[in-house]
Amino acid sequence: MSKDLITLLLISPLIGFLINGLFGKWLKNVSGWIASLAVLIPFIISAFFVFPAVRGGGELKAMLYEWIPIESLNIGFHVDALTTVMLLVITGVGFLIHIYSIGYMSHDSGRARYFAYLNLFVFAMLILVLGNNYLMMFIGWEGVGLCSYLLIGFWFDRKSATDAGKKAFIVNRIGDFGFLLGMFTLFAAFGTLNFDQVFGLAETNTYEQVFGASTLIVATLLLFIGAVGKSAQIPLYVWLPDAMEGPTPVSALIHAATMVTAGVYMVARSSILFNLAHTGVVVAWIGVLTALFAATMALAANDIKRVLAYSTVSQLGYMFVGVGVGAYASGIFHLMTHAFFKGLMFLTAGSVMHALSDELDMRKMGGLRSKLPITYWTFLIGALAIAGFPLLSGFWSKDEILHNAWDSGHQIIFGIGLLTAFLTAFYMFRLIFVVFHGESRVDSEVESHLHESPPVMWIPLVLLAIPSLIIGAIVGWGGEHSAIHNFLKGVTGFVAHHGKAEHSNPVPFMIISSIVGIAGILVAWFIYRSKTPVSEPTNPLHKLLANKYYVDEIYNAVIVQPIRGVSHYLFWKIMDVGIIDGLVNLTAFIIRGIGGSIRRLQTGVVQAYVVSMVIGIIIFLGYYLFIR
Amino acid sequence: MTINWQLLMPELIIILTFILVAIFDLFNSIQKTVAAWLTIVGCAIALYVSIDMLQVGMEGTEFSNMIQVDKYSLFFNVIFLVSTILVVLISMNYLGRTDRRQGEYYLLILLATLGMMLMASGNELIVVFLGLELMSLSLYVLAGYFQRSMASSEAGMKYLLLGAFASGFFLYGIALIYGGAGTTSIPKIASAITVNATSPLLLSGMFLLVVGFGFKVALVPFHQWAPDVYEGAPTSIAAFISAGPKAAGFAAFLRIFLEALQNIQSEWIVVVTILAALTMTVGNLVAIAQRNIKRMLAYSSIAHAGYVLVGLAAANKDGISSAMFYLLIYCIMNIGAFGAVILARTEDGESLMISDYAGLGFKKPLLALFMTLMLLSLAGFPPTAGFVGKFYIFRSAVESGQIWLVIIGAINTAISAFYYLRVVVAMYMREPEEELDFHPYPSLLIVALTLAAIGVVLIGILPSYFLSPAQISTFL
Repeated sequence: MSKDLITLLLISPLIGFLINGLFGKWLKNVSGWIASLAVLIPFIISAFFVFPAVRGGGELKAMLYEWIPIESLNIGFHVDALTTVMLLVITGVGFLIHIYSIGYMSHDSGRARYFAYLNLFVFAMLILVLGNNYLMMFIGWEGVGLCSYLLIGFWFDRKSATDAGKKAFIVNRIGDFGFLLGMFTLFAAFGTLNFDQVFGLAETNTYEQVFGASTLIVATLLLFIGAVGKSAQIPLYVWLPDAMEGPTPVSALIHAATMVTAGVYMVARSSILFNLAHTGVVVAWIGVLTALFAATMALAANDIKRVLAYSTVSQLGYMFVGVGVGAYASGIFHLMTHAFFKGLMFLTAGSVMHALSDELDMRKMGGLRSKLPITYWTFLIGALAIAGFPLLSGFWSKDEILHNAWDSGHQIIFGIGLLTAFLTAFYMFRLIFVVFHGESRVDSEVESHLHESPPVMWIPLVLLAIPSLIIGAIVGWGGEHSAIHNFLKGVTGFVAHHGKAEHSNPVPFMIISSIVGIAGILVAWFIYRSKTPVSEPTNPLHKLLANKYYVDEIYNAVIVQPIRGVSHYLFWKIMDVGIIDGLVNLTAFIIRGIGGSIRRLQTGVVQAYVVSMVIGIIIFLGYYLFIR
Repeated sequence: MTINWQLLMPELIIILTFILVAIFDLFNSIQKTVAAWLTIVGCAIALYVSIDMLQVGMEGTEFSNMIQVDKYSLFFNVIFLVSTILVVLISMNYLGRTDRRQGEYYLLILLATLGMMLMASGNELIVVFLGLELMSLSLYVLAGYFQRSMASSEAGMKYLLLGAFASGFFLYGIALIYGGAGTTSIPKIASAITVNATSPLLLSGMFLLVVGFGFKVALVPFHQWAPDVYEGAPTSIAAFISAGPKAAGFAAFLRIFLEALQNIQSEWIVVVTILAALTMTVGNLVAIAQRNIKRMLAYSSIAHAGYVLVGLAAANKDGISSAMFYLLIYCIMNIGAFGAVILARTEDGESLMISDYAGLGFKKPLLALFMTLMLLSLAGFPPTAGFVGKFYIFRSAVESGQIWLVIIGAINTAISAFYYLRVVVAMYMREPEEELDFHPYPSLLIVALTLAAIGVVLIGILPSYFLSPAQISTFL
């Protein structure tokens, strides 16, 4: 594994972005293939060069180049097992989604712009996971946020899309602000942002106690605020459901498989700090509450993509439970399996939309099983995987997280997680029965040109369905001694058990979660196999869920409106217009006045110029000869 | 006496090119653009040879120690030749095919380039003066190249008058230093002057050299020729005057003051510091008041001379290398900015008012992109070259304790952002007041601008590849 290969891996999507961004106008249909190739190259490098090298115990920590001689402004790599897992997910799933997009976006006139953004996103995401310091991570973090904003608002002539883009951006800023403060804290404490140095100093307890004994607690919690924003956890999850306004492959890539998992990656990368600060328990609690909360909202949503969005929020919650209770490898394991099955489900949802002329309302679907067979079967695989059906990929990773939660002494978290698992199975199969089974409720006009997606779209579905089926068993078989645990062993630090030190027998946990998952599926089957979903909720609980607990309205009333009022009157009218603009205008007036009056010396008369030169000479010469 | 001709290869190539161009120019049957292509090829070969000599590390003195070829002079050769190639590229479409006199235009450019190279390698005040005059006389003629244009003739005349005046001071300074030190050879002056010598002859001579250089590189208060000349001269020549000759002035300025006069450093540092602060401040403040983009760029280039002077005021090894690095960057981005001005030509000639640029971002996206990139770099925004250049200059000054100068420089950078960004804002956020009919893009100009743009971005992203040659090339 050489430095040059990593460089190629990193810049390949950047080159794709430049080609599509600069010459997209002339590329027409080729742009999608160029963009796909730009992601295929990094995937090949990750899979055939980086992965074998890292599995053989290799690590690459190299300086790509020194930008300017300031410690953490330099571009350096940190490639280890954790990075490798992320690389494989980003480039592997990313490549398939790029291919799928060629079909999905084939009729869109802005596809060169679309693929340029998509490549730029992959580039930023690679920076995020490859960086050897927090600043590079932050640059990637901001980069993916920017691309997310651009792609959510991709159809900028739709007001809802631009609003959703802005919402995502603004909510993320809150998180990013936390991340930034966390970075400042780390820098103040350690004098560096380099991972190895920070972790080394933290372990030997040799750092500036900027906040006394709670320095690390403050730093990790601030960093975690960043993760809460980026990974859509309570209370900053509100942007993710709205982000579904973007093109569906974007939802699959950015808002399911990769970007939103950056927070989980960050916590896993900082495992040493979180372990030392004992703040994992906060992470786990936020995670499990988000998991439950989002799952309940998914119960009542009727928009197919929103169900998937809430489900993503909920699954991200599981990942945070994993990394929060110290089971870092299990959290990353779930991140990986989730990337496959959730990416798959988003793409199948896109396939449904493609067939139904962009219909999103599940109540206007039904009976699609026979019309869209590939879509149906691949979606079913994804749903079974997320529901924790025995031996499918989601079963292994979710079970490990719950098992670790129990073993680390968090029985309540375990219980809530189990309840969420039941709800997950239930709402996913509610979706399956409503969309694919029962009577067709599709508009007759739409139904007339109902069609299965072209191969360029369904082949990626099949290729994602395969790992959704088997990857869990392959890498997760054997619990503590499974392939993924062995692979990640060196990176994620020690597993911090707060309670019991040793692992209990995993088999009972597997049986319990199997039962829970299958029970959820069965309940959904009893309720929805033939029933049409009600159009308007009647009972209060259902109404509460369907309105997403009125959180958006509460935020609007409690935060947005007051801020807007204060900023309009106090900050804008008085502070900004009155004081700041006044000062700026005054300064500008003075400077302009000085500039203008000096300008008047510039008469254009040569004699005057000579006079001014001579005056200058006399003053300086006088200084030298007489005053000095 | 045998002469090591190999040492003088770049200069010899330029002279050979000059002769070839002069011969070709005699034949009226030959396309006049051949002169331009010959100039480019000659400069490119000289550039290649200079880079090669720089890498090999060929050094030595020639002509009884009058010429000192070292890494320092070779690095400056690279700056001059890159500038000259870019200027010739932006000139070709600007002059047009029909201009019968353009042979002499390129001849004068070659002569000026040769003069610059002599200034950088001069080991003797007299040689530096000869180089300076060779360069300046060519420039006076070039500034007045558009004979039919009143403004151009006026520019040439003004430049000549004021330039001659300044040359007088420069020569007088040399004479006084000879009186004080008994020699005009740079290394000998260095050994003749004792630390903190206070001979009035030396001090006055030193100061008159400051005046001479101050005029050539346009330091306040010796700057007033610059805006008038830049405005009146052909735009391609304004680009030329603002780039290479300024670098050449600094090449000799740095070498004379930090080598010959280093023992009276404490004397000249005061005046250099004051001049640097004054130049940055006045240049930027007056630039704000400009409505003509060429005048704005003239004041901006005055301000940039102030930034380079900060490197001299730092008076250490890093100061020299960062000034060299900054001059390289400055030449590329300033020629790029003037090139973008040439690109914005209408049927009625050039559009020089900043208000003419309104709405160009959508009508002429490529032009606006080039202009924006160059202006952002001049303003010093990361990740462009202008940012890293300023960064190293200011860092060297901080290291030598010139904190106040750096603060003034930083404030000036903020002020400068105002007028650079005003053009960008006009291009992207204003509606055009009247419909201007812009020329189609000339291909060679696009080539030149693309090269400059690549340079600006590349240096901004990979500064160390360009800085480390400068760091190993200082004479200290």
